Amino acid sequence: MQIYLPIAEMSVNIFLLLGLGGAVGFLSGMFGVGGGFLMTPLLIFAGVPPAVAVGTEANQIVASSVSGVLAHWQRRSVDFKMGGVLVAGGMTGAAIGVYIFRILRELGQVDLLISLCYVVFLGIIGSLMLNESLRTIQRARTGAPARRRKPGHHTWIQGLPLRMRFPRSKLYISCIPPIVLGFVVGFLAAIMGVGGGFIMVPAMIYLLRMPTNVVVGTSLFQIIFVTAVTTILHAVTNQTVDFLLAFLLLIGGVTGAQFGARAGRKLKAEELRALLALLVLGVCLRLLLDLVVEPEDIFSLGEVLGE
Amino acid sequence: MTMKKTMKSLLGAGLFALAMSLMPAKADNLVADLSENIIAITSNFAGKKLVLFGAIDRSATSLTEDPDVDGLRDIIVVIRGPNRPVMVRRKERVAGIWVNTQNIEFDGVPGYYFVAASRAFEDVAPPAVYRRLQIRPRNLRMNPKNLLLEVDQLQAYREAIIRNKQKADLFFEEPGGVKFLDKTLFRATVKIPANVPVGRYKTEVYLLRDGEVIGIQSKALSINKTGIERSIYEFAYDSPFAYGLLAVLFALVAGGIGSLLFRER
Repeated sequence: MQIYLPIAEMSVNIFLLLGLGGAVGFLSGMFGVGGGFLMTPLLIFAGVPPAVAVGTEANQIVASSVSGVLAHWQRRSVDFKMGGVLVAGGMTGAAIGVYIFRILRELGQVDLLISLCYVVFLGIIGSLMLNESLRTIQRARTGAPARRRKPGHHTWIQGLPLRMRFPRSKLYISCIPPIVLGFVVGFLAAIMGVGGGFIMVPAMIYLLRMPTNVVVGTSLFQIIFVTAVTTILHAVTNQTVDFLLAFLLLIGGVTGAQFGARAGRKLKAEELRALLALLVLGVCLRLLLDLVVEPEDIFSLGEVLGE
Repeated sequence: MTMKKTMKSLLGAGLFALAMSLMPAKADNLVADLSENIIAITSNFAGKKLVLFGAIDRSATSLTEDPDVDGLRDIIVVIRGPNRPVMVRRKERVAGIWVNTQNIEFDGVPGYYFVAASRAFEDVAPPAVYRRLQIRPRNLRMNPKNLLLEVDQLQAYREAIIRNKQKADLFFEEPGGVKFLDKTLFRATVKIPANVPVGRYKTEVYLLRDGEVIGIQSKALSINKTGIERSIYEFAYDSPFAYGLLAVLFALVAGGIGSLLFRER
């Protein structure tokens, strides 16, 4: 059954979209990741214009983060104050990201920017994850003890001014690092159509040294605000949010995530991570190939914006 | 299938008789119409095939049925969508990756262009006729905006537009696409793809004798988005802020409902 997407201006099989939403939802439930960084490239592979894929994915992430944050709210594992500081940086980053997105779209370079961002980030994240999980698997086999990072080391971050108290996280740190972190993630959300949890969570643990129990909830909390603002800004500046597409992906996504979460409990964490890393690297490679292989036609047609 | 059924029913409805009765002697010797004059793009729109059908009245202009004396009749059908400015981008390899390095805006590019003739284009009329009437993609006046290009560069860009539009199923050139059912009745099948641009289209049917145009008939065709697609599209472009806000609110509610439905106990 074909369905016509009003903003993407294309006709797609409805089951393809539901299946795509379901598959990515399954993976995100299984691995505990947002899934935006998989969905956006997959939509591009399916022929959705990259700009529409990014704007629409931001919209879908709002929905998929809500259910997560509600659960964390009940467990009181959201640091709202830290979240607020991150959101302040995130909204600024998103606004600048969308603005740059618009300019590059007029210059015909936005597809390139999206692909490059994905290749770089998926490449880095994928390699780090694969490396880390393979080591863990190896250690588990040989029985060697896991190396622990030394806690309580003073870093340059502690020396920054404008310190704030974050009671829930039991931190007294400068508000500059969270604002910068929020800014970077907001910027990436606007350009890549991702929530940015894959950067936010490790940065919160290793850079801000937040306790792990509040990390995921706080990250989701900030993702909702930043992707919501990104959605509105993309809708206003670029008209690239396809409501119908987001809705169909969402149905698949919400359902898939439930089954994924159940399946995830049956697999070992490090094996899961190794699988996810391979998947991420696969998507990265495909995007890289599209960039380096000589295109079939060096000419392409685009619409004229701003008329 | 449906197309054939449409054809048959329309023909059966006495189109031919109607066509004949509508033709005043010596003047209009051509009648043609599309199976649909308004196409609505709805949620399940996956492209469409239209049938153009028509009749020529040979008795009005010819004295004999002998083609050697009377001359050969040919039909050319042209359907043109509204012009839209197009940005043509040219890629080059920069530091190992392919990057758009040249962008040129072109005017006069129809969003959709279909041309079919009853035989090979070269047999129907000499190239000069196509150039004069701007028939066939290569004769469209697609020109860069605020810019002059060298002849061979302009040619390369125009060919690129045509090639890309053909690949996107938006430009069609079909020699032999017009079929004569007998001496007077003809039909052509027109493919309207799912990604067709909306707007007012113009259908032109040319009647030729020995390579010269002896009759033209034109009809309007309108392609619109309707239903929820239209509402979403218009909403997104007319009040983008409210649209974005609603999209976010909807996502919040949907996420909330989702978590209620699948809450773990």
